Amino acid sequence: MKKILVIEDEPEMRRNLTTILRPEKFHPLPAENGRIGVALAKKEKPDLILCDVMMPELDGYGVIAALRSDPETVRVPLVFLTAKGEKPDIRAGMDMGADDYLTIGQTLEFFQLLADLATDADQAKREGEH
Amino acid sequence: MQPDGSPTGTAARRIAETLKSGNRRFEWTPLRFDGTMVPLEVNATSIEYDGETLIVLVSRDITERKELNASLEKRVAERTLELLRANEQLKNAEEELRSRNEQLQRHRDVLLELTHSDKSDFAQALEKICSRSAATLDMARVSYWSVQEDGSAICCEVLYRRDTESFDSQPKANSLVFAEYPAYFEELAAKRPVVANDVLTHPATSGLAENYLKPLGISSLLDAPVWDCGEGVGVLRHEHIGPPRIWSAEEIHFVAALAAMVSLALEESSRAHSGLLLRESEARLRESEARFGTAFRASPAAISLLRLSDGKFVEVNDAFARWLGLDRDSIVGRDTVELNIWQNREERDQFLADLRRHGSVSEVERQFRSRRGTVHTIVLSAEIIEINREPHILGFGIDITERKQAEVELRRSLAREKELGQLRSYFVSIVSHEFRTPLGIIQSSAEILEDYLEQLEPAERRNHLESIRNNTGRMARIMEEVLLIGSFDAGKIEFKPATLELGAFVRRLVDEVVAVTAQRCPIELLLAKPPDKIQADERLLHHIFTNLLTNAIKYSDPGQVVQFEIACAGSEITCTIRDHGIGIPEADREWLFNAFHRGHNVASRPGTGLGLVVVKRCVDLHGGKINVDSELGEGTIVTVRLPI
Repeated sequence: MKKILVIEDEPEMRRNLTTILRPEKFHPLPAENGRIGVALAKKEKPDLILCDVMMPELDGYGVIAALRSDPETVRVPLVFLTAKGEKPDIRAGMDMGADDYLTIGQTLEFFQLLADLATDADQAKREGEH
Repeated sequence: MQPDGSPTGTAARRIAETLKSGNRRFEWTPLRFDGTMVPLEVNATSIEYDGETLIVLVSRDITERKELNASLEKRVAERTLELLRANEQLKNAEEELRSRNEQLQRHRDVLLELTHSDKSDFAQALEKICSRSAATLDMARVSYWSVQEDGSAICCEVLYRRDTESFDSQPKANSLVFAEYPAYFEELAAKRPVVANDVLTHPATSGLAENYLKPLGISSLLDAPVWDCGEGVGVLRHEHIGPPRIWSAEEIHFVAALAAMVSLALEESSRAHSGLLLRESEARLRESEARFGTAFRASPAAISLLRLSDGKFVEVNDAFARWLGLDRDSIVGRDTVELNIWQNREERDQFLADLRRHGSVSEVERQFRSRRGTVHTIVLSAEIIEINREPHILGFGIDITERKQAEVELRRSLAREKELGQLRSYFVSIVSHEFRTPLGIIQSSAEILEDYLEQLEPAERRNHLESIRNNTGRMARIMEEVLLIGSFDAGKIEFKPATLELGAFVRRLVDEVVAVTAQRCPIELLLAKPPDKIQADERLLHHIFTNLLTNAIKYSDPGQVVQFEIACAGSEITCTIRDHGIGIPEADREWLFNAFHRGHNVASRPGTGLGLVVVKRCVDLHGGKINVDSELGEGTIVTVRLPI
């Protein structure tokens, strides 16, 4: 099962994200701030990281800077979670090496798309095995 | 028969006459037998004798008498002729005298006319002299030749031709080089007129014959040298065409007088010219002086003139005197050190050194002191100029102090504007983030409920519904507080004091807060001798205390007591809210009153980060002071002092 690290300081948001991921057959790893998120990323080597931008202790930019400076995590895809209209944030995030960004409204659709892709890939894999 | 052969009738007639008158005397020239004739005077008398008439003839030889008579007659005739001739001569002489007299008179008239005529224009004067002379002397050509600047030749300036009664259009085509005609020029150089009745034989002019005189058919020539200031400057030439002409003394004198007239004209015109030049240059000088004077006086720039040698002011304009705060007379004669104008002596020395080295200094900004003691920034330009052969410093100064200040002000307000802009965009990004979070939660919880309702436990469903309700409330609170802050910023909230019963007010407020916080913490109210009624703005006080008390309760553990003490001292009340909660980390204390800033240790305690901002605005508006004292893990004491 694909591991997805969710770095989000708002507990309810964090809960909701993990809730959405679980039925889609992902293994969510919740982290309540950037510092914990980076530590977890190094330990668990997730397949994808979803990361809030504004957080106490270590914000999203701090997280990506830490991850991209470590060869172990340099290639982990990271997607920023951001509010609609926060364009300067997006630009800054992309400049620092984020792979994409999601606005809140897109989150659920995105996850479903991810799940579909994963299912397709599994099916292809299984079909290949047969 | 008569000796002259006349008919004898004559004799008969004479006899008849004699007979008739009785006596008749007449001359008779009989022819003698020898063939000679002798003149006789005959006296015939008739006498009556005997009835007969006799004629008695008495004759006398008158040869001698006749001869004498003839000689006399001849002499008379000769004398008469002589007399006639003398008379004629006399008449001629008289005529000549009169004509010469007339000529002289004419000469004199012409000279008088020329003397009185305006000779300020040399060319015109020359034309007049030449044309008048030609008319007066009936001369074919009259011309003036001037000595060239290099003194090697003469060149024709004006040539009047009697035949066409006009001036030659290109007189300058004619010139005579000294070296080619030495005899001619030597004569002129001796200040003598060249008087050539016959140019071909005259020693001075014969040299000119081949090249000049013969081609023009000139036979006689009268040239008078023109002198000016002891120097031969030209020749007034009279040329006669036709049979050689003998120049009379009067004519020679006349021409010499005309040459003197030319020299006069030369002098007069040069005087007039230099007078004109002088007048012009004087006018120009006056004009430029006036212009400079006006510019100097009226210039808004401070202009000063200093002697370079001693640095003393020689002249300053009104703007300078006005700027310095002294009148002109107190400035002139003193130097900048005496007047203590330069703010910095080294700058002055450097400036003067630069000025001496380069001759000018342009647009440097320096500090100067006026007599009022104010320091001004002046853009200074200076130049070394010579006045009466003495070097002076001409300085121009423009006071840009105000401009500088305006610049500083402008920069400051631009910076403020920028800061405000940054603050605004920061605020917007914070607000949007603050909205985003509850919105995101509401949205995602709603989606989860929608999509996974069946898979969720009942407790989980309740949690999501609660999240939606809580976050909706949170958004409403943020909205309310942002709007409130916006109202403060827009100046929409004013300080409106009214009579307030303090005791009743705080008790009501405490009850409200306890109810809203679901009795999480008890509030201990300490009212030490409060005045019954105070002048305060109830609305502002409500915002202040609600926020502070709610904060105290929120960051305390349930059950921990929050103290609310109100004391009066003089004209102010001191309100202290003390809690024993989590306290505020030191790093966050300086950001206490910044929008959306929350302590790092707030964890999941709800809040917008706007409460203290609202409190601060209200306290400020009320003219009070707020102080926050906190110890991490020990609690926080907020003190608000308000004038009443």
